[in-house]
Amino acid sequence: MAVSRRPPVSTPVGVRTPRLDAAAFATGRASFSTDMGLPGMLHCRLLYAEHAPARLAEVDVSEALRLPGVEAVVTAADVPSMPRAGTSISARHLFARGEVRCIGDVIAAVAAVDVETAQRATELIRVGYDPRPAAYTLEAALAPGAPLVHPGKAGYPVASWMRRWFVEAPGNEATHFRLVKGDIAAARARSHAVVRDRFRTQRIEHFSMEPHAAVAEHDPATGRVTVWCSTGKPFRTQLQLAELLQVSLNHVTVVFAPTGGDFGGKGEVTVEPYCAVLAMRTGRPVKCVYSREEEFFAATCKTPFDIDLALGFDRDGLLLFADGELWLDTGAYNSMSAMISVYAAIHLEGPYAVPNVAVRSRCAFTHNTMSGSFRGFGNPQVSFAREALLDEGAARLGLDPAEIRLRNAWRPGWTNCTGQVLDPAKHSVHVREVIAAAADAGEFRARWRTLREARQGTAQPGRRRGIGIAAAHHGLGGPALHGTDTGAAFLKANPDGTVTLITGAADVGQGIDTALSQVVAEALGLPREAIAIAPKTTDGVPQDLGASASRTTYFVGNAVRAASLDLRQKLITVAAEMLEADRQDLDCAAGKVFVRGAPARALAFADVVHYAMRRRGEQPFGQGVHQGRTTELDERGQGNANNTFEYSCQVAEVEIDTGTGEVRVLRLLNAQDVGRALNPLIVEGQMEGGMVMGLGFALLEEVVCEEGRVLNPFAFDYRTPRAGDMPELRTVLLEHHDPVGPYGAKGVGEICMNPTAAAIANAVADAIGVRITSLPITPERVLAALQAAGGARGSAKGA
Amino acid sequence: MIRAAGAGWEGTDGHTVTIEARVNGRRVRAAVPTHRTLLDFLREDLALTAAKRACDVQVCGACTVLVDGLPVSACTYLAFEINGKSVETCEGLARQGTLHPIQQAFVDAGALQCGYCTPGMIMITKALLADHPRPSVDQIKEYLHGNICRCTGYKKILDAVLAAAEAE
Repeated sequence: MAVSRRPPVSTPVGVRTPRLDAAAFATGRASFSTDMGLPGMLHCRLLYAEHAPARLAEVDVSEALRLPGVEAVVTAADVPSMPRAGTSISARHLFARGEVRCIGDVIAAVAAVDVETAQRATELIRVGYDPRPAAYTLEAALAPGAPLVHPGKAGYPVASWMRRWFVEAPGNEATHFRLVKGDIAAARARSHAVVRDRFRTQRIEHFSMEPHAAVAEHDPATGRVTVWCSTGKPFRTQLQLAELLQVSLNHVTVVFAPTGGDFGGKGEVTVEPYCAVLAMRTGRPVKCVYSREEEFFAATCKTPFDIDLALGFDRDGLLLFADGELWLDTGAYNSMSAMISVYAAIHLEGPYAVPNVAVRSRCAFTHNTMSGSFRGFGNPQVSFAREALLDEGAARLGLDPAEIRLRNAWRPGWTNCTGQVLDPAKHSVHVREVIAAAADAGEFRARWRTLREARQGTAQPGRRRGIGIAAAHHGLGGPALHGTDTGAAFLKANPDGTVTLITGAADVGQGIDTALSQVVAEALGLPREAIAIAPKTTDGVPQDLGASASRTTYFVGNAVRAASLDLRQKLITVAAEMLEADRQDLDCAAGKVFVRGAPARALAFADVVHYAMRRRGEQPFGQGVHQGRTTELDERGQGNANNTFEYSCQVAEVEIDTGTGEVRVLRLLNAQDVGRALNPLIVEGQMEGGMVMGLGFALLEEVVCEEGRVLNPFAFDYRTPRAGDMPELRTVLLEHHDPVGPYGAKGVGEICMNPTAAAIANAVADAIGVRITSLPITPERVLAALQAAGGARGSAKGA
Repeated sequence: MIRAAGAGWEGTDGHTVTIEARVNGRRVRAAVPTHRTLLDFLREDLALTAAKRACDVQVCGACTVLVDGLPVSACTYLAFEINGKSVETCEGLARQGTLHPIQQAFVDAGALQCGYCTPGMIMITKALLADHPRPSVDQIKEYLHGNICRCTGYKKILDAVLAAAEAE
């Protein structure tokens, strides 16, 4: 066992225990990429386009090169063979080549002895711009004769899974995903009530507390590039670096550094390739850290959506159809937005039994900075629209908002919009339970009636209260766009009887390492002290897709369980030889292998491992994989897109100051089907964090873009939720074990945010009797809505 | 700034001043450029990287340290201003491997996720508990309002602060 004076602590699955690595963060000892320094290290700053779109008439770096302390200045001319970058459509030159399309385009990268010198050098680079006509909005980009962001897009490399939806025809439309289930026209004709509206969601910033950061080192003797960086997808970073630098994967090492927040924002390469190129050029390590301002325009933001949705109901409030059209402003490049457009489309129906569904989901290029992946992956956007219309439908039919959701909830055996049968033997289907739990715990119906009566009576003037409910689901593992997902793990037994877990799971603060250690503890009966997590590099751990799509607990967790059981079998086999016992009669617990029914006949793991190595010439280790079971989506958007589903239903109560338009969330409740909480402390933390992030999306946050520029790229102009904004938060964990997930667990980190903005928006509509259809719901929009309605009930579009 | 420029200064050449201060109880003597921020001084000159750079404009609290017991944003506080003063960073809290009660409370309550805002949160909590040993929830929210956390939703941080107040 590990050297420790404390008694061993048992932390198997389900135990509420602090994170393994918590003390490293609480003491400030954890070394993030931003904290890294290497001998001789240079610092990189980037020169971005000042005007875009424009042709580059001239790029003159000579003065910058003359500045003392500058070691290298790299432009496109220095890397002529570097291919275009992009996960779905490879459209972007990391070093602008003759033209710039958005203000996030990089013209030059400078390496100098310190940050100030590098920054000064970028200011000495002379660039001549020849401005071109621009399309900064969806409307402008889609208008006839609009300036083309990518006139040559038909020639771009497109990922195989995206080819079906890539739009080759001239124009700014980049991708067009179609989903068709049933017959919308017939369903519309049969509908008793049809509700339809247009919704808009905004750009928001991930605002990870640690900015994007990297340190790169190049060894000319071996050709190896080593990168320490802040990323949630180390293997994608490795792959993109290898492609850009045109070296093999086994010559790019990405070191998993502690990552100060991700939320989907750290999947694209940002600073890493610039550091690598400059390190190769100078022979010295190079570090680059984004400023907060760069986080807003150089990295991606949440993709803004334009949603036109219609829902049809029968007399009893049962959904007959959902017909939606989604437009995504992907910015000047399209990497993750194409995938988001698919994900949003297949989640548009929500966790509801809708027999007829049609969705046309399209991405358009504009001259804005690139948008992309963000916690929820398109789901919070479409949930906002759908849940609003469910309330409108309920009002038309005289049902309460909880009732209409309960009536339409998915049932086991239902076939969802992609044709996937909701088989309880393969995934959990507990939508009714989740909605009922939220409504009960949140006392939704009673409060809803009480508040209605209060508003009709003599309510406090100037203040109005409202309550809202909203539900959502989240497909785990991402739709099967680029093949089946696989999780893998190794578990090494050490000669002292401890074990070391080797996985490619990226811990970006969600605590996955701790949860995985609990899976090992459960499977092997080992105390916490006997389990350690191996330091991670892309060379030293199995391949993994990274912290995305709520997949890690499920995929890597299952692989860890399999690896633990594999090691268990191997130790039992060795012990059987040592004890001259039958394998069938042996069991493992508390770091020992023993004969069932005769616990005195036992061997410590240490002795078994020692024997295996010295007598049998074996290194005992367990190996485990978990393979997903998804299938590709066809041209009608049909296929088994998801491995399992997560569900959340949330209740929000708000108070609105009708004089100022200010919305205050008083309480927020989340009833979530978590499958099984491997560690309730961690699961609650994910849920609470997601809810408060959803509150920011609903009320506070917007990256304001005008003419392609970000007007508020600073922490003081961009308002994230703070402690004082925090409502009374309540989490209800429903543990309907998933039939496939590790010990019943599944992902929890995205679903918790999906219905939050919708619930808050529904509460606002309940309070003021007017629906605001654009996020965020700012005081200005509330006042405008109140004025437009003149106090009477009506519909008001947001600005 | 003018008040700070009192006796005990030496070697002022218009650009660099020599300062003497205590950092986490240790005496520090250094020549610092007048424009150098306390954050750069701590992180680069003293290799104390617990205080983080996150916003650069004094609005997120990730760089919070205590100067003579008062919380300051090190990113906009000039290093020479600590002359003759005592600076405390998150590295100075644990004693011989034993976590400070505030640190222990953050660990136990699950009050940290990515950990980047945590040293700043812990330092502002120290300042809070010095002023209000038994803080109300409103007082906690008021003190923490200048420190952004993007991961936790603040609930478990509030739990940790209340637990730390009990423990101290």
